[in-house]
Amino acid sequence: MAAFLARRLGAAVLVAFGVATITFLLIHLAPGSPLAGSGENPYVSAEAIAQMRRNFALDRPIHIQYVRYLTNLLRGDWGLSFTMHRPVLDAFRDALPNTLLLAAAALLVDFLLGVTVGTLQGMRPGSRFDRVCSAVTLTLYSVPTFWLGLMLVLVFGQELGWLPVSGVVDPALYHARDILGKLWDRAAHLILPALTLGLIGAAATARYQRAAVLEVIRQDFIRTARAKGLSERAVAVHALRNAVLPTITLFGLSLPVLLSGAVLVETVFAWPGMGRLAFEAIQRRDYPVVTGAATLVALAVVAGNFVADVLTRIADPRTREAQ
Amino acid sequence: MGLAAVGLLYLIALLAPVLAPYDPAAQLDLVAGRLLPASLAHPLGTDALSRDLLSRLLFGARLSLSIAALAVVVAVTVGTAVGLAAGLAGGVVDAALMRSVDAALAIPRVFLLIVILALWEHGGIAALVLVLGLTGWFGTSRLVRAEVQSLKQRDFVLAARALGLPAWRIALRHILPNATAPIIVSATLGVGNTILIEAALSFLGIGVRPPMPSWGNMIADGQAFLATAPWQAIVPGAAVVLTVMTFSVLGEALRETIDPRTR
Amino acid sequence: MKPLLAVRDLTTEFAMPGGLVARAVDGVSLDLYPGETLALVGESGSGKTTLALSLLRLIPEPPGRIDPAGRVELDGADILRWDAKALRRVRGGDLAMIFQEPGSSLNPVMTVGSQITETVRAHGQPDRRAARRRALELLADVGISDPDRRLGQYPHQLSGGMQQRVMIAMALAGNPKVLIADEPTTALDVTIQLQILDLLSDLQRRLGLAVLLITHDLGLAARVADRVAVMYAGRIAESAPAARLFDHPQHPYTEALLHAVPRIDRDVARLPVVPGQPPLATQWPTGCRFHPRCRHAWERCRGAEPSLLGTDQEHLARCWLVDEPARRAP
Repeated sequence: MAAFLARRLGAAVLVAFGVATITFLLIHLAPGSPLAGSGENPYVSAEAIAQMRRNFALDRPIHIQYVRYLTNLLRGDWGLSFTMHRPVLDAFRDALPNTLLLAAAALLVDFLLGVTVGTLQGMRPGSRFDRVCSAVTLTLYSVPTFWLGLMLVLVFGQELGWLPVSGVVDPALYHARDILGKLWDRAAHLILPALTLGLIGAAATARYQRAAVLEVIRQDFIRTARAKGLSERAVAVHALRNAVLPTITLFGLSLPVLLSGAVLVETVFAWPGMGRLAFEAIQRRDYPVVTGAATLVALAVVAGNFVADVLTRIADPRTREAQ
Repeated sequence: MGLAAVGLLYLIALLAPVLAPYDPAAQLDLVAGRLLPASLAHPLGTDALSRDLLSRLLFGARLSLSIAALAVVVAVTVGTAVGLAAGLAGGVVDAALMRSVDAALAIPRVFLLIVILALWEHGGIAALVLVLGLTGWFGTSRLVRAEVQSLKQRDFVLAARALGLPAWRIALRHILPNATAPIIVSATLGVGNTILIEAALSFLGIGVRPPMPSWGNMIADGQAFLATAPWQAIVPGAAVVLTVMTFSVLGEALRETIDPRTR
Repeated sequence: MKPLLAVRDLTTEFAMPGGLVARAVDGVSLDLYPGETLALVGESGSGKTTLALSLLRLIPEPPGRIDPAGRVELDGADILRWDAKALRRVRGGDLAMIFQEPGSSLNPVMTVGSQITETVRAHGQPDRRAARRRALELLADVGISDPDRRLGQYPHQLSGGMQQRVMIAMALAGNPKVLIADEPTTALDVTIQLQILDLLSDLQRRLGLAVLLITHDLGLAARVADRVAVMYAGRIAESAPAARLFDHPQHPYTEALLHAVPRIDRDVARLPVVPGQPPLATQWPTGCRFHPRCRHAWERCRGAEPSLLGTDQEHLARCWLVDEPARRAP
C-alpha cells in the first residue's frame, strides 16, 4: 500500500506540475497584457504602470517569472490578484466552497440517478423501461448544460415560481431567518444548479452503467449465481459489484469535468463560485488568479484519479496484489 | 435514416442564404419590431435588435455545422496520423506519444478551450476551428493506435511485410482502410460533441462572437429575455439538441452496421 | 428402478438474427438413475451444454426457448412447469451444476467464503454462523487444505484446480441429489484433471450422487461413466452401458469418435477427428443428421431419419444399420 501511495503521489505531482506549466505558458504567450486597459486610461500615469509592472514582476523575462511562480506556489503563496487587489488564496477561499458544494450535489444526482437507471436498464435490456430510458438519456446527452439550466429556470423559477434561480442564498431574507430557514434557503438555491449539472452527467453515467451491466450479465459467474438458486435480487448484487468497476473510473474523471462545467452553470445561476471567478479572471487577464485556478483544476484531476484508484482497489480485489 | 437526417441538416445549412427570409444581421425595425412573437412575416419572431430569428437560426446552423465538421476533420486527421505513427513505430516513439496523449486527456477539454479562446480573442472562426480540432484528436489517436496494434498481427499485413512493402505503404494501403469503420463512427459522434462544445463557448461569448449568429450566442442573447420572450432561448437550444441527437443516432447506427467489432 | 431425473422430448431453440431458428436440442429423452454416472458425449455444437443448461432452465430467454411440450421430471415432478420460487429451490438444491471454466464461473470480486455461504444460506441454513461452519466443512470435503484461510480469499488467488474444487463445494452446499458437470476438467492441466475426476467419483460414492457428466472426451467418459449417451446434432445418437458402447459401438458417429480418442502410442493427440464439418443448428440435414459425414450412408439414410433402434432397451442407436447390418461398408 505504501508503494502504491508513493507512486500515485509522484504521478500526482507530475500532473499538477504539467497543468500549471501549460497554463502559465498559454497565458504568458497570449497576446495582450493585464495592464493594457490601464495604459489607455488617461488618469493612470506611465510611472504608475511601470511601478505595477515591477510589483508584479511583469518586466522580468518569462523564465524568471515562471520559476518565481513555481517557488511561490510551493511556499503556499499563490500571489496577488491584479484586479481584485487581494491575495488569490483569499478569493479562492470565498469561491471554492460554493463550487465544491455544487459539484458534490451534482455528483450525488449524477451517480445516484445514473447508476440506478443504468443498472435497471442493463438488467432488462430491450424492455419498455429500457427503451424509454435510452431515449431520455440520449436526449439529455445532447442537451447543452447551460440551456438545460435556462429551461429549468424558465419552468421552475419563472412559470411555477417554486425555486430561486440565482445566487447561493436570498440576500434580503437570509440573515433574518432561523437555522432551519437558512438551511432551506441554501438547499433551495442549490437544487436547480445541481440538477442542471447532475442530470446531464446522469445521462452519461446511465449509458455507461447500462453497457457495463450488459457486459457483466453475460459472464459465466452470473450463470453460476442463478444455478446456485439465488434470487434475482441476489444475482443483481453479483452483477452490480462487478459493473461498478468501470463506473468508478468514470467517477474519477467526472470531478475535473464537473469543475469546468461549473463555469457555464455558475454563469446561468449567478453562482459565486470558482468557475465564474476563473472565467472573469481570464477575460481580465488576471494572471495569478488564472494560473491559480489552473492549479486547482490540476489538483482536481489528481484527486479524481486518486479517489478512483483507491475505490477500485477497495472494490476489485484483483488490483490489490498487482504491485 | 440517421444519414438522411444529417444530410437534411447539411442541406438546410448549405441553403441557408436561400431559405432565410431576411438578412440575419439586418436590424429591421428597432422601434416596433423588437422581440416580436411568431407571425407570418417572422415565423419564429424577432430578437431584441429586431433581427429575424429564423434567418439567424438558419445561418447559425450553417456556422455551427461547418465549424463542427471542419474541427472534426482536423481532429481525425491529426489523431489518425499520430495513432498510425505510434502504432507502427512502437517502442519509445509509441510510449512517448501515448503518454503525452494520456496527459492531454487528463486536462478537462472545456477548461483548456476557455483559457485558450478567452486569451486569443481576435482569432476569428478559423482559429476556433483549429483550436477545437487540435484539442479533440486525443481519443481518435488512441483508437487508431489500438486498431493498428491488432491489425499489425493479422495475416494480410504480415504477408505485405514479408513482401517487403515499405511501412508507410502498408499503413496507407492495408491498415488504414481496415481501420476506417471505427474512425467514421467516432468522427460522427465527435461532430455532435463539438457542436455542444462550440455552443457552450459561444454562449460564454468566446466562441462565435456577435454579430455573427451561432446557436450558442443566440441562447446567450435570449437569456436576458427569458421572462418576456422565452422562445428567444428555447428555439436555438432545441436546434442544438435535435442536431446533436441526430449525430448520436447516426453514430450509434453506424457503429452497429459498419463497425465489425459489434457484430 | 425408477429414474431420479427423467428427460422427455426436450427441445430448446434459439432465435437467431435474420429470423433463423437454431434448434440446439431437438426432442431429447434421457434417464438418470440414483447413484449412477451418465456421460453425455459429443462434439462442440452438438447441443450437450444447451441440454445441461435447459435442465436447470438457465437458458437466457429470449433468445432461447424451451418447448413446453418437453418434460424434465425430478422425482416425478416436472421442473419445466415450476414457478420461479420452486425453481430457485431446486437450483443448487436437488439439482446442482458445475461449469467448464471455474475461473470465470466464480465472481471475481467476492470472497470464496461469501460465495459458498450465500449458497448454503439460500438452501435452508439462514444462520450466518452455521452457514460459515458448513462452508468450512464443504471446503474440507472437497480436499482443500487450510479452509479457514481459503474462505477469506478471492478466486484469482486460487489455482484452476482449487477454483474447480470451490465450485464443487458450492454445488454440494444444497445437498444435491443430482450433480450436472459441464466439461468440469476441460480447462485444467492434465494432472489436475485426474485429481478432480477422482474427487468427483469419491464424492459420488460417499454422497450417493447421480452425476450427469458432459464432455467431448470419450476417454474421460470411459474412465468414470456407468452409462454413455452420445449426442449428435441436437439428438441422442447412441446410448448404452459404458463397456458395451466402447466394445461394440453401433452408430458410425460413435465409431468415428472412438477413433479420434488420443492414444498414448500415437503422437498427434485428438487430431484425427471425425471427417467433415458438424452441421449447423439452423439447418440440420434432412434424413439421418449424420449421413453427410457417414461412410456407410445409402438412400434410406438420406430419405428418412431413424428413431433410436436396438435389440434391447439398454443399447440403442439412431442408425439404420441396426435394422440392416448388411449395409455396413467394409
